[in-house]
Amino acid sequence: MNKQPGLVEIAFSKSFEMAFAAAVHLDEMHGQALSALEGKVIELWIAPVKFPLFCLVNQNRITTQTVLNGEADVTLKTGLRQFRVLAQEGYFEAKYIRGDEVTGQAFIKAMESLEIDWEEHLSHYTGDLVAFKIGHGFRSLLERKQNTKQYAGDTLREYLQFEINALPTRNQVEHFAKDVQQTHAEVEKIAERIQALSNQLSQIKPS
Amino acid sequence: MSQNKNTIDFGFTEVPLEEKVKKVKGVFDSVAGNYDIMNDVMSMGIHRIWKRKTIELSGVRPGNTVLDLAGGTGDLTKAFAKRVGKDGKVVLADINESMVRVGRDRLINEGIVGNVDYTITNAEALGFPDNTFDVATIAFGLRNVTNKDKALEELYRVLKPGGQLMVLEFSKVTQPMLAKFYDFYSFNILPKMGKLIADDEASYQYLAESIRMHPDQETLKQMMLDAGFDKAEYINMSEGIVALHRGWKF
Ligand SMILES: C[S@@+](CC[C@H](N)C(=O)[O-])C[C@H]1O[C@@H](n2cnc3c(N)ncnc32)[C@H](O)[C@@H]1O
Repeated sequence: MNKQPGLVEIAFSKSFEMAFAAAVHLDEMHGQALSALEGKVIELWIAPVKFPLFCLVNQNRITTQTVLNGEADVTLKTGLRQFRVLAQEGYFEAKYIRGDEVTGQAFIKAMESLEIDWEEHLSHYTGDLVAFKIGHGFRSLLERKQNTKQYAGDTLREYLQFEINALPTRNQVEHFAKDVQQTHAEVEKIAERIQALSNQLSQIKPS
Repeated sequence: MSQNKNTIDFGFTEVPLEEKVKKVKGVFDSVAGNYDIMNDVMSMGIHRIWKRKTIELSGVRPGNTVLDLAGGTGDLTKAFAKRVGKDGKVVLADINESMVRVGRDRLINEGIVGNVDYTITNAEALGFPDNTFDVATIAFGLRNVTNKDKALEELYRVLKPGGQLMVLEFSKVTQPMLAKFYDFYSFNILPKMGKLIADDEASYQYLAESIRMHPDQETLKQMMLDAGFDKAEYINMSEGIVALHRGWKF
């Protein structure tokens, strides 16, 4: 699949990567649970998201991306809701689709043994991001918000702002534009002043 | 690019060909220490999202061999090293020793060890055998290379069949209003910021000029095809401030 990932895909992928990184960082076993998956790629379809998330496992760490050359070792289907269940009940439900079943089982086991505060990570970022894209999502979360669309948009912006540090806020842009204008005006003022001075200079020069 | 055989554009100033390599080296020598900070300030942090997109689209997988040409302080190398794992390899190659040194220290500091090689290389003459890499990247580097056609031919040569080249580079802004603002930004603001932060106005003046002299989207795509790539395409990012060109060897 060579569809170009947009901001939503990138943010989605990045937020999972951060959740995994946080979990491994906090894990007393330093991500030892992932050692059975060394060098493997797990393709996750996380309903209702419409693109795959590839989890690359290397040296007890997981990185994520939305594009992969070649085939993943195993493909699993799960849902955002399943991550919430995982957080609350320590049980991860994922349906085997194709590939190496042993790897699939090992991934599910690893997910269940890693202490990831999915609620925190995913309701904060992904739930809203997905909601932003498809118009519905974590109901309970969104029902609390009056203007959900606006809220999701704000969250996306906030997310990109603080987590990927990618988009300048409107304030920053306005500030920047003002600075540019001001610099421009000042340069012009100085140019005028130099012109005036040199005019004066040529006037007082004895002829 | 200049028509005159013996001179080449150094930003907007034409200089004899062999001098350009030295000048470019000088520019990056002087900015190496502040490079990361400048990078953030100059692009307001957006370069990170351009790079993340490049990484996502590379599709790299564990075991892959990746070349990060003109890799500088190693942003892409770091991300690739985490992805290719212990059976893979990333080569950070750059013409400038200070940049490579800053990059290597930084990556070692961050615990990225074991699967990264560092090498001082000119993009025009890569010291690697044919068919070595699954993915090759050159991010914000091609515009500094004197003979871009030669560099592209070399990149094609060292890619494995099925391999992909990714060129991330400033390009031609497609939106007229933004183009104006961007011009003013790069020629007036950017060098001033360079002076404030790195105390080096001239180098950032050069950076601004070299951005403007770089071939536009269609031209670069054609150059890639002429260099031998079997397929080439590009995507614009941030209205064409930056374009990601991708070329495949079949
Ligand atoms: C703007 S930096 C980009 C660094 C890094 N790729 C990034 O995106 O952060 C450009 C790099 O190109 C390197 N460079 C310039 N000319 C080169 C050449 N002919 N061969 C290899 N590297 C070159 C410079 O030394 C510098 O490190």
